[in-house]
Amino acid sequence: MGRWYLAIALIAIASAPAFAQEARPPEAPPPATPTGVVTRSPKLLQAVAPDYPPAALAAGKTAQVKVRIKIDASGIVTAVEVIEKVGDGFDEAAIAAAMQYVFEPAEIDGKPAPISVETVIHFVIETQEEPDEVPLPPPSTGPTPQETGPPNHAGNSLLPVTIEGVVVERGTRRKLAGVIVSIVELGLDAVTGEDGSFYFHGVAPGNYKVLAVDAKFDRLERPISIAKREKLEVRLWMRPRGGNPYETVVEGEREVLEVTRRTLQRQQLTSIPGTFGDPIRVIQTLPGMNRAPFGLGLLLVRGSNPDDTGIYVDGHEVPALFHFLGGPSIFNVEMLESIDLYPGGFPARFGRKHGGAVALELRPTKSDGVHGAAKVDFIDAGGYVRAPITKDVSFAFAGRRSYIDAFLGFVLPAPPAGGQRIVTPIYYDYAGRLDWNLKKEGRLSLFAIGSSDTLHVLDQDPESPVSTDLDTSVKFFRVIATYARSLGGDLKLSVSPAWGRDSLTFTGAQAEAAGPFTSVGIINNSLSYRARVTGRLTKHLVLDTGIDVLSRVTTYDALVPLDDNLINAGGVDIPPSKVLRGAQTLGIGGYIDLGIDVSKRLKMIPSLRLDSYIIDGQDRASADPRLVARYQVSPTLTGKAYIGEFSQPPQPEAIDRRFGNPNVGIEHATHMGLGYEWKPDRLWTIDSEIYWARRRDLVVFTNEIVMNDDGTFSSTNFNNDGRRDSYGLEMLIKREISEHAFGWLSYTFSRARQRNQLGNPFVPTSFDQPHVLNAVGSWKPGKGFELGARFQLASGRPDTPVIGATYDADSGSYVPLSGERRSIRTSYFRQLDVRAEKVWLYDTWSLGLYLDIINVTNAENVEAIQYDYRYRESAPVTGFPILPTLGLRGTW
Amino acid sequence: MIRALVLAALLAGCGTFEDPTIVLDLRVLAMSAELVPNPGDLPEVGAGPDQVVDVDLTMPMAAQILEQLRPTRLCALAADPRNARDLRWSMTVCMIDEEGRCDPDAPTIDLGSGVIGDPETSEARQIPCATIEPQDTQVGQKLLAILSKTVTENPVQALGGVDYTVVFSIGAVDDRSTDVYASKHLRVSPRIPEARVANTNPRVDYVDAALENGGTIPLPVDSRCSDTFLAPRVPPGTRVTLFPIEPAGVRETYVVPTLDGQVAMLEETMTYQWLATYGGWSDELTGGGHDLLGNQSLLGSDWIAPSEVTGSLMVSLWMIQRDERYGTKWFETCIEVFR
Repeated sequence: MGRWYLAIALIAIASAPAFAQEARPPEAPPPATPTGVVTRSPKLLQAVAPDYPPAALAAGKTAQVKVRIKIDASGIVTAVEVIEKVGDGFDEAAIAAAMQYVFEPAEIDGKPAPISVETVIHFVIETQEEPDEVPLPPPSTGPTPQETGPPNHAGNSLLPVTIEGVVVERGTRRKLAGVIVSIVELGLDAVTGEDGSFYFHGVAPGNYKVLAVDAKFDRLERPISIAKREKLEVRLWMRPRGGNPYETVVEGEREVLEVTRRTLQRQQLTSIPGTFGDPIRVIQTLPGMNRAPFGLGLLLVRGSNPDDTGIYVDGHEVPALFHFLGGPSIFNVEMLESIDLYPGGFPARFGRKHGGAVALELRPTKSDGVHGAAKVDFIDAGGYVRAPITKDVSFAFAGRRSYIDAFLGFVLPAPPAGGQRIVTPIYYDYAGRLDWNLKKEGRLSLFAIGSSDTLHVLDQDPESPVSTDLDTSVKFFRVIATYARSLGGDLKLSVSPAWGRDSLTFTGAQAEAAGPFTSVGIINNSLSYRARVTGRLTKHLVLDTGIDVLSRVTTYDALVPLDDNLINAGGVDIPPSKVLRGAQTLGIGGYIDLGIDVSKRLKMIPSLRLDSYIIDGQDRASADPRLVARYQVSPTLTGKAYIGEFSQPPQPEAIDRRFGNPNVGIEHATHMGLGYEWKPDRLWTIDSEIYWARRRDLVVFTNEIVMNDDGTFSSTNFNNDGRRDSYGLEMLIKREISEHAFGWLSYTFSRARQRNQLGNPFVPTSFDQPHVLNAVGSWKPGKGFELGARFQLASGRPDTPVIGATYDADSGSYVPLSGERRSIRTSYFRQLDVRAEKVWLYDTWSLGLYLDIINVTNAENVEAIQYDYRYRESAPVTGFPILPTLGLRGTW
Repeated sequence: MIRALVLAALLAGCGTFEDPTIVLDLRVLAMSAELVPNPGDLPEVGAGPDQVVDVDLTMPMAAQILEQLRPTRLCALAADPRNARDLRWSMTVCMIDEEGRCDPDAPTIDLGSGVIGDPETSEARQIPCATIEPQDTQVGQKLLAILSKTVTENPVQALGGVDYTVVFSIGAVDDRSTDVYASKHLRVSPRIPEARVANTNPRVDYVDAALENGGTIPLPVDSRCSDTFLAPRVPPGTRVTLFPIEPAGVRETYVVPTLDGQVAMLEETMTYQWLATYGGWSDELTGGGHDLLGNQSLLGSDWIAPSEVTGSLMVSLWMIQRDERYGTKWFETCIEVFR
């Protein structure tokens, strides 16, 4: 029995490894196309086995050394650093070996580019009797030049392939690149290619053990037997560590052109307890976000109103859409790659909002086989499928439908004899995407998403004169086309037209009526176009510029009783009348963000956004300069500061000539902030910031009535007298995703106060919450289990005390006597949500069973205060009680 | 919309409070206002809560307005079933602020105060009443100041009429912590358009009381339980449908000016509020306009006699009739629940 050692280098290439986004060291050359897409991973051309430290070998010590390799645009290794030191000489041996690696360079947007890869070099001691039939080549001597093949080939390449195979991830059938496949007895090592393939040449007949090793998968050993003149084909199914499919996100080094961006990856969007797997709700757990009442999906950024925060899908603004009951959101998480939250000081490419920005990046489809996912729980069921059409064309489709309506019939009271009672709430959504890889000519994609919420209520009692026939619907549709290509050098162009239609309808009638008594129809058609050029212009200058056009036409078609023309006449029974109104907004914007490397440590990012509007035939314009500075104090610590102007046009209803005021102007805001980002090691990030924002010229409602020149009167309805000031401190302590855990702790201190009219006092906004704490954690203990928890602690919402009441003898009801406006708060909100999931992995698919429990301690959180009819007694209106949800989800 | 409906449903479904239709302790139930020829006179037939004056809005003359204003008599209906005690009351005229309350910075007029006997058990019903006397120099000047301030702060309101408020308070004679408050609006309108006339208080011919078996019971009119020996008897749990019978023409047509310089012709709606000392009501408020579905509720409401009664229980019932122009009329009766 001989004893020999095997040092295995797991080289991170293709789609399997993690390309860490990291702070760029001062001496490193700037990345070429940091905001682009990795179109080709670096391929290992030459690996060198490390020398096993003699003392460690003698002592029988083994090790795994994690290293980060910096590869330049020519494929040369420029630096190697050990991420987690293990000692015993292993670190030095790993660095020495890795410095000799040669790669075919990575490509970003089709161009060779520098990149960093992380790898694990395994030092393993194998003991094995030497086989009789095949002489072993000495491990320290590589094959002769004429015998060398590609890395996924091993053995004498002049000999025929006798064993070939492919390495596949269990559960997802994803072909794994960068996996070391060894025939232990022969000392042959192959590194799987991008398609997961490996080949062994000239293996003599006999029994062997195949070993497959990768840092993110359980080690796989499989005996094989090969006969004379036989060619053996094998498929190696590798199990992800922890027994749960774990898809690492590949990121190139994105150029930083903003001061604060908080990113959530797709895996983080699906497994946060208490969020129903809803990607938008996960955003609510980040710093800068106030807690939304009743679990609604509102995005309340730094105390501002939900309408002040833009939600952008691949750059196009969409309304923050949720199905009824405030959710779930219509965005299927499988369609999303990531979500970025910009709580303030956001880049100029996001326009027409002065609160914050939430950018949803869509997930491109791939021609890598048919994949899918499905989910079923008590409320709805949905699915996702992705498939290739050709080698370069692929598509994905997702859909979901609720079935609450099927269960409601069992819980609703039975209708009276001779009557009927029907309640039919239905929601569904769908999304589709087509991607066409045009190679050097770029990439074309078409994305469409839509949703529908309908509610039909029919209630009729033959004994009662009152009946109900009510229909409501909320529908949404967007289609976004995007063409992206390289412009040469590091510049990239993308053009993207989009069209959308949103509608809200309501009809109300008596059950026996032939037609509606009242109705409301609001239709919003929007057409937008974006063109963007981004990339590095020079060694010290990065550009992001473009134009942004939005045309929005809103029509109102209503049959409603209107008394807005009457003077001093309330409580009148006015028959409904037809109302047709419309509002048009055309916005043309241009923007530029410049990233200037003033020095190796200092980056300045001046920005300018210009917007011109035609609102109901009247011109408006805004110019918003912004400046961001980032200073790298050390390789792990970056300071940041920003100041900038932001503008937002009024909502369509505010500019209507009858019900609004076409003379209202654009709202403005000033943002300022100062903070730092500290990355003490690879997994941990600490991000903190203090901010101040003043939003002015806010469009607010007024009951002012003015006399016209002809002696008639007009209601002003809206003016620009509103102002809101906010300031605060945010902190995020985040542990990045690894195969075992991720999580974050976020804390926000914020104050937001608003004045609605000149001369009025400033009072806290409806959503003002001084303290908001979120702790999120997810842990994979192994065997397919994943456990998660989320804890929320937040200040109560402002409320106005009721200090008495007067009986209004003209209406028969009591009118509360209010104290100082919003001078009290409801009690602190605290809630613990937990989630447990067990995943069973099969070769071609996986099945997950999850239990998500909202408010596991059944805490009674006060969301509002209700009063008795004369305001003497009060009682809290509490939020969700303990609410368990059991569901199944499968992927293949 | 859906979210709002759900939230409303959630809010509506929470908590258990007192039934507002059941009068348990001291409450003001209604206030009425009627023009009178002179202070101390009884109201004229058809008198109402507001008055219309001829005035040149481009150059309003205070004296001209003042001489047209007539005395207005205000009365309040209060109940205090839980206690047998005298009650102290007062009435004050004031100007309405932005929140619909008495503006503390504007002039006020003390109309009157006094003590009444227990509303349920005193020998005779004692209604607290007071009269605004514009011809009284001090009252008139203060009233003009209130009206002028209102017009100054919202000129368009003068076109539709100037509102001011009478606040009524009532409580135990020796305990101010028991005070409860009620308010009533009054309106002085310019005669714009020319066809504009003052509102009159509404009224009913009678209130029909029907049993489930189709029979009817006679209800004593405007009578406390302690005043009548004619209260009809019903068994516990009986459902009695009370239905107001309106005289012809009680729903007046009237004109109001519009912001665009035109006029609108409207017809009054009537609402009815139902109250009792025991039992329960099918509807707290009836009448009014159409809802968004086109439903118009019936005018009547079902009173359900308490079922846990041993022996006899006298129950006071009230119906408050209102139009949307501050016109008010109340109806009080009594039913005996007898096992």
